[in-house]
Amino acid sequence: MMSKSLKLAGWLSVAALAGCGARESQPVPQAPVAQARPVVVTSQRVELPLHLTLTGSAEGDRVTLRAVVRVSGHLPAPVILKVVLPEGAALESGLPVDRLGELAADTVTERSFVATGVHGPVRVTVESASDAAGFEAHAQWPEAPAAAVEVAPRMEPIAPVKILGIQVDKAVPVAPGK
Amino acid sequence: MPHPLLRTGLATVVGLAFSLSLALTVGCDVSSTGDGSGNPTATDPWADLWCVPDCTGRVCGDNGCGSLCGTCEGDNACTAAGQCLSTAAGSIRGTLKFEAQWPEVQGASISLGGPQVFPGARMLAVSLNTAGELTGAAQADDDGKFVIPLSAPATGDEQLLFTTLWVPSLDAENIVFSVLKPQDGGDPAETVSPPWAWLVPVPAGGDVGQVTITEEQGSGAMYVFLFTVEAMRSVTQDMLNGNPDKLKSLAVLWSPGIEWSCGACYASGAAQWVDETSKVADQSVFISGESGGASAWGYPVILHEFGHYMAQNYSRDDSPGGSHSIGQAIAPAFAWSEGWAGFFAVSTMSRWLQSPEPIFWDIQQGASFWLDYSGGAHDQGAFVQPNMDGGLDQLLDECWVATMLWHVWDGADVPEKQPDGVALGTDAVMKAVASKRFLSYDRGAPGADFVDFCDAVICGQPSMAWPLKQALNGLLSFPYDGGSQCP
Ligand SMILES: [Zn+2]
Repeated sequence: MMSKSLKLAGWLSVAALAGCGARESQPVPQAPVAQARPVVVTSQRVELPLHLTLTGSAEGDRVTLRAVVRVSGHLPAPVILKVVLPEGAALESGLPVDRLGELAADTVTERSFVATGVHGPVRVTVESASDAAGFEAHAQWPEAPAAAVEVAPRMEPIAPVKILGIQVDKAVPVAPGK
Repeated sequence: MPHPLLRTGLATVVGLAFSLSLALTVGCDVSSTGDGSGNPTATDPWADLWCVPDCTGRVCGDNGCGSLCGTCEGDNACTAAGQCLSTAAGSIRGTLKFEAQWPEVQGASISLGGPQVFPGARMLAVSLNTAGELTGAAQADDDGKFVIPLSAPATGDEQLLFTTLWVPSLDAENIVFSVLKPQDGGDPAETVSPPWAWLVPVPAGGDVGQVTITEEQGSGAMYVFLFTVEAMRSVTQDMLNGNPDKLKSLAVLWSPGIEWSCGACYASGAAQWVDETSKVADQSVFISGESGGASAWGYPVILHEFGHYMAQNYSRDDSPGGSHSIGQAIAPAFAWSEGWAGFFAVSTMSRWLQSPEPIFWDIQQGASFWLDYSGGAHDQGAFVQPNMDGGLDQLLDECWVATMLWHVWDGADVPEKQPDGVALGTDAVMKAVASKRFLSYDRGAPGADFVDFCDAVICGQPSMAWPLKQALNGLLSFPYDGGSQCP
């Protein structure tokens, strides 16, 4: 342990004082990788037991909506569906807060709404919550524009440098502080 | 002391538990966590349970446990190797910060609270000269401050580099952990992807001031990196007797807008490369960077996937894999694998915060959920409970496995709100899942499962047979028989 730590201390001091460019140890050459070779995945993200899809059609500012609530597992509590209309709109048919009750696994429940004076997105949520778990699903009609997709920052090419034995040749440019 | 990464978020996370209890007070048996006051629960006596300070060969800087090996006097500054070097000739100095998001709860739903600025604690700052050569390195302190001594004053041509590459010690042979920036998503795959890196120009004189990596600049990668490095350190202490040489290499692939078909997953056979000939990891975790989802900020999911890595490499995992849903009874080996990963996530977070935080949460496109694993049999309707007449090999809800693990674990590393006669703590739990009984024998349903875990606990501590059976039969309605088959 001692010799190891001293070795690393020694390396960094040398690096810091003498300005050495790269670490001595290079990564062991490996067989070239098969690009994007698919792999066996043993774990998947857990699925939620509560799903909502919302479809609709409009004639002028009169909108007919259909909410489909699908339950695929055990829920902790009765399900409540809520419709949030944009300002100035009103429900002609359907309930703004609809208590759907206890919904069993593998069931589908549908509700339809007609709203008038709709000049903006309609939002529908379904939720089920107890003191030990909460589930919520939401949807908007019309669907939010795809502009919300996140964009990764661009990494610009830099003079290649070995960091911990690995060549780093691109980085996100960041401005220094004031 | 909690890790500095968590300090700013501490109030928020405890606040999360607090708002959960507030949101659910109406007619419920409120299961609040923390002390409910919105203040962190002071539990310093547990601080040393998971952290062994190491100052071998170091006279200054981080001791790995949130305090210092020593400080440097006068115009000396501490290098990444824990040595005091004079800054009289010159230095590059500044403070690293980054934006991160913490969750907020409103009733059934959970959402992200918008960016907050955190210190880039323990990140390695590397200085480069005009030729792109490395001239020095220093580790940022708990406040994100760093000072890199130079042999001459900074001329204004130097640059500062931060990357998501990690080795447990600087003389390690290979990279042990990295966060890579994939170009494409889809099905999880072996890829050639660069590590995340940020480059900052250094003004003449060397003072870069406060450098803040924003969300737009990919601060999520730094967040995933610091969280997982912390998990690597915990596993080194808990499973490898503090010997990091035995760590298996892992990469996390994450980038904003890049989505994986599995949502989030761990693949034990997926190697990753930074160029055609340089492999950086034998195993991978894939985290979707979906907009509207938890993305990099979903620490329970990141720790859950790390829990799969931990089980695969340092314990045993016989899960058949495939799709699984909350509130679904699945094969015991499958439920064990997922329940273990969930328990690993919340217990690890609780140890870092030194306060019970049994809340698992995630935000997926168009939906969100939270689960309180500290709920017991009295919280009717939350998860699918086992049947006391159902036998040891009955199908189980993974959430219930996590709940059972939470209850037999809590009371040692963190206080338990509901005494159940069993408080195994991390040490006993980790010993059990790495024991010969757990690794080589099989009782109950085929494959490693909760029954094998209980047997392994009892093989290590025979006196636990009765209290464990009592707690599981009573509070948790699992028909464990107290029997065991020891090597
Ligand atoms: Zn999983």
